[in-house]
Amino acid sequence: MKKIITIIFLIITLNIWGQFSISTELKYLQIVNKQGNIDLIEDNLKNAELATDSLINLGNNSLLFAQFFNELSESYFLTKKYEMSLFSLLRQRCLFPNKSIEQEYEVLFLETAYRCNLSDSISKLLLKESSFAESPRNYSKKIEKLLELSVKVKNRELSSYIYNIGLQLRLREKNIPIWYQHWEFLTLINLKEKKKSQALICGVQNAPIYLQITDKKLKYKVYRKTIKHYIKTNSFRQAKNILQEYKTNKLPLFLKIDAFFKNLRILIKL
Amino acid sequence: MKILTLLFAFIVFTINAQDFDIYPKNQDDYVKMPFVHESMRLNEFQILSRNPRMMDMAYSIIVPGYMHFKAKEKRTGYILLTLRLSGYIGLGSVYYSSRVDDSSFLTSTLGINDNEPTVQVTDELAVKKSDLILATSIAVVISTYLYDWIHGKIVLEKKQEYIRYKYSVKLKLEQNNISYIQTNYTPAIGISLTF
Repeated sequence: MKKIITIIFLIITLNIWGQFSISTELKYLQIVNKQGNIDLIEDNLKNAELATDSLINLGNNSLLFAQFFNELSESYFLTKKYEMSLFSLLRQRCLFPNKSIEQEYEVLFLETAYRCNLSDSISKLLLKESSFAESPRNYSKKIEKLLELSVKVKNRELSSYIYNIGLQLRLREKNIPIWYQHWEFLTLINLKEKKKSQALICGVQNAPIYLQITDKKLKYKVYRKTIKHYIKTNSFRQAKNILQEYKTNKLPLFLKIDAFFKNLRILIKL
Repeated sequence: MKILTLLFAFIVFTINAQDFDIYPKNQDDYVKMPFVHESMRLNEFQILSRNPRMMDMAYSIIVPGYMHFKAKEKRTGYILLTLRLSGYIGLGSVYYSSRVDDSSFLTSTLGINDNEPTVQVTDELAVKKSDLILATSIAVVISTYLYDWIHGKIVLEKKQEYIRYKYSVKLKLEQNNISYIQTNYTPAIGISLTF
């Protein structure tokens, strides 16, 4: 009898000590945002981000989820992380659209976009494209839209978050948009945001992006970054294959020297 | 020498504590299994389980920036480490320059050697170069030690306060949610247990 009581007690205790509910996380965000203590807000951001993963995974369009993302955006805004603040608003607008909340946060959205140093046209485009009226019905399409708009913010810090949301899309969809596949690859090889957007314009086919880029300077840069990435990750055979492809181009002298040293590194390791 | 050995032996045999802490330790931390919340990160758990102790005062003498490393403030820790090392380099340079000048370290530090170049601080005050380096180095070593100990302790305690506050409030909110669900229930058959 004692054992049964202990087990029941344990189950009850474990239920109380389980992961915090979203309403708890939301209420806590509201409490810390009202206090305005930056250290306290920053301390909670990682916990809140962990909760967002499960929310995106669930994908239920509830008012609670929408409020959570907006409150999180306010937290980021207070800590002067404007890109993350804008990204949180985008997450709410694209994945959990709600007309009344949308109107409430419209001014904040534009203000945050301007603080991210985005132009007026892009800010308004993001606002319009992420609006309730433009929201698709299918959840996978909503994720696609979020990815498309988030990439437009062109921020390095957002890359890992966008990449994680992309994994959610991969879990749900078989046909991943080509542009996103290229973006994933360019993120993996650690190409700068500005160059990434330039390269993405050319990447319209399913073939490797370095074969599609017309600008020679950018093309060689992507090649070099790709080889560097494969050497770094000990994928020497793949690095060697791409290096051979790279060498077929008419390279300037200093790039030939660079290719020679890269080749030497691969030969030593192989 | 014999007296020193005896004194050392006396200290070793009379003190059987593992930690020269002024607070008594009533439990073994390695055996105790804390109940960690599911959403608590390892970083937070580590900060909560690291208390500033008297022993850390000695550690931070040996390892510059120790308290900041303990409080997971690596940047400040490395700055303190660099500053303390530069202080030691300063002390070392004064010591070796005195050796090169064929004067003992003591005579040069006491200012007996008058042939050294001086630095004009004000119109009336001129300080020897070695004295200036020595004073600055000592000041850097002592100040970095004090800063490491006092500031590191404050930072660690502050971080612990934030974590405790966060989880206390969240647990309270969670309990309120549960009680709200319990008071606003829909009629159903079930078993209730009261302890």
